[in-house]
Amino acid sequence: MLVNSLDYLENEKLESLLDSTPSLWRGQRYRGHARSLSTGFDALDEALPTGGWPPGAVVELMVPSMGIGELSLWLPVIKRMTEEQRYVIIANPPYMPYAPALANAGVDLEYVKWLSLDDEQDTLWALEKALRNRECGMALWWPGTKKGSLADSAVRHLQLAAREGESLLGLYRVANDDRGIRQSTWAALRLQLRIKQEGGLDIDILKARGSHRQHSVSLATEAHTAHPFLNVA
Amino acid sequence: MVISDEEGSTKGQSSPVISSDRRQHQLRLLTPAASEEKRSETLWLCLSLQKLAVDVVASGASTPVVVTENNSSRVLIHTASESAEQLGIANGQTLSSALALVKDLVVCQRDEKKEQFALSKLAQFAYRHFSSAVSLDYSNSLLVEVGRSRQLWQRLETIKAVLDEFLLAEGLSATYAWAPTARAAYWLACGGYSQPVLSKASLAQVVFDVELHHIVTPAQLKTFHHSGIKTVGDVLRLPRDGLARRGGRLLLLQLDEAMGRRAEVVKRWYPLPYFLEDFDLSLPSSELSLLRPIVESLCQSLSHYLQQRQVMTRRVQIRFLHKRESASVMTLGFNRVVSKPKDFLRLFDAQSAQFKLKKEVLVVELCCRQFQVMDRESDDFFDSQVDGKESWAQLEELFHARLGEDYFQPLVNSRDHRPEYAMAASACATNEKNSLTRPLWMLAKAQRLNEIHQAPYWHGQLHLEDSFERIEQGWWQGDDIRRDYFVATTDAGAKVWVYRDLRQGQWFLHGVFG
Repeated sequence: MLVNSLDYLENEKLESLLDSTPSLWRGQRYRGHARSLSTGFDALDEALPTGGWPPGAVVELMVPSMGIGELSLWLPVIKRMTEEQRYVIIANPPYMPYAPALANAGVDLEYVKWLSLDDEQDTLWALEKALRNRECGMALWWPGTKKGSLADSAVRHLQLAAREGESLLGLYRVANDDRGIRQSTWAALRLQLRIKQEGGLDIDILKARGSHRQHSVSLATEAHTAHPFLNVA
Repeated sequence: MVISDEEGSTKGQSSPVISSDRRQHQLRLLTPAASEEKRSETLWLCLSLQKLAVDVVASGASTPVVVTENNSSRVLIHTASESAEQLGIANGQTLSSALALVKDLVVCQRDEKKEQFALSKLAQFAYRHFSSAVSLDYSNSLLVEVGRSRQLWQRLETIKAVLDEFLLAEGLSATYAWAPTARAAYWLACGGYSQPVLSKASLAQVVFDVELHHIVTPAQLKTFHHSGIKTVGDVLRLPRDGLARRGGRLLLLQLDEAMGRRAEVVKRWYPLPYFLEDFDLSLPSSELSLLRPIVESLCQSLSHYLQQRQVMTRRVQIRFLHKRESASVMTLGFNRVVSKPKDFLRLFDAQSAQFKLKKEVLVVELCCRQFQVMDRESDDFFDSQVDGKESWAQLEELFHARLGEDYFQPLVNSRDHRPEYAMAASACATNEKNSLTRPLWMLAKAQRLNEIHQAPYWHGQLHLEDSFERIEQGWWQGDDIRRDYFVATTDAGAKVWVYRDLRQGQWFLHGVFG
């Protein structure tokens, strides 16, 4: 059925509905969401259909290995969250988060919680509770670093919890083969991080709710105290 | 030691000198006030629960019920229900003879704990509604001094109606009596005289008709019956010295107390300073999920208890009692004060996933001993959760309940230059920034690296940057380090932080630039 697009534009009710509902968008024309969080990198903000990290969502990050700037990517958001006195959970990371480096990046350590649990079920439970919590802003999780792998339904649970709590979950998945990358996901956003030989980080947007296009973004390469790769804006 | 203001009864006794505060203490025990005018206001209500033993084990049963008690080798009827009494069964009879009388008799074992619990619950109710002068001093009876709250309730019928409603809800039956002295009220209740006796003058007439078996021991009763004395009135007509000889001095004193000729001491009942309630499982269970409704009802009564006292708590203990095994104890610890059942249940649910019961549970017990005055800040009258979401403190409580102690590792930034000490929990914390290059990831323990052609090797050759940072410190603490730190790039392009130990000349991986 053909509908005059002008009617759409003039319909204020529809506009406000589109504004208030993250899961509604116009094909190819997602305008960004009022509540989306800037990533702190202009290039990435522009490339993402939400104009920043999507609000209340799981973001899957496919990383080939550690040490490529996978945590620095989140530092601007972590800094902002802790400034707003919202808690940030770093769950089961493969290494110890180094407090002096976080403090150097301007993060208020009081609001950063390093969660270390042996049991994957416990971790899932804790993250779900945390994402629904009103004072928790975001969580980063490295599943399967201790044992086991993550079920699809678990991602869905977490996605629902994040949406309800309007919080963010960065989910790190080691992806060395194409199979993992092509697998479907419940996450609202799936990024693949790649290292650039000349230094810096390439980010492929594999899935973004609100867009069909596949973008690639290159992030700055100037030296920084937190990471030599990324220049945090 | 009893003090009396009545001249007659102190004759022959030299009244001892009592220091003023001791006197005050004793006076507090004395319920009738000093002046005649005030005494007339004192009115004791006695609820006699003669069928308590039956009511607590088989409330509302239509069939004849008896509650038995073991007396050495014989089983005796402790209490018979009214329908059983009508069939000719009396208290004190042996069970076999009762069974001979009535074939389909329901026989229950006496449960003294339940009786005690029912009585204290009743006392608590009276304490809350009518008076602080409540007593369980007389067997199976509750005494409440209602004279002082008569103005509030206006009519004695109202008081009775409120109590009736409670008794009905609890499945108890009682007879009422009202008298100016506690003992007389008890006697009248036992004798089934329910008309309120408001003044002492009318008391004398009523008490006269009370039968003796409610008052005296069976041995005394026998003595009196031999002399043809059957009622209290008969006793009172005896000369005092003769009565003291026959019935003992105690009986004389009791009669004086009942008639208000002598001040009586009524042991007051006070509510427990802590909350303790239990639930006996008729069917032992080892499934925690099946016990949840019981815990829920206990939590509700705890919450009720807390709200009555305008207090809150941070710690609640649930004990699951087993047979021949120490109890399994679950402690609910809060990091704020709470009073609502759903707060208790939230932690119970979180903890029950991990909680192991040692054996089958026979009794569930809920105990709370630590109270705090209600803090208006910490719990709203309405729901404290904003749009149904929890606060961080509530989340930590939940984590604590399910995950134990060490779910959060400390993240501390301190001034020490040695990288491994800069985040030691014991060090003094700071939020200072500095311009040093530090990786976001640190290895818990530096990893020794192999060397190939005098260059460190980790997932391929490491490419070191030209500049390095020398850290040389800690010799005064006996844990000195001398290291040159380099930022290095792996073959794959990842950035790591490595150092060369200057004392041993070996390479170590210490951090990763995440």
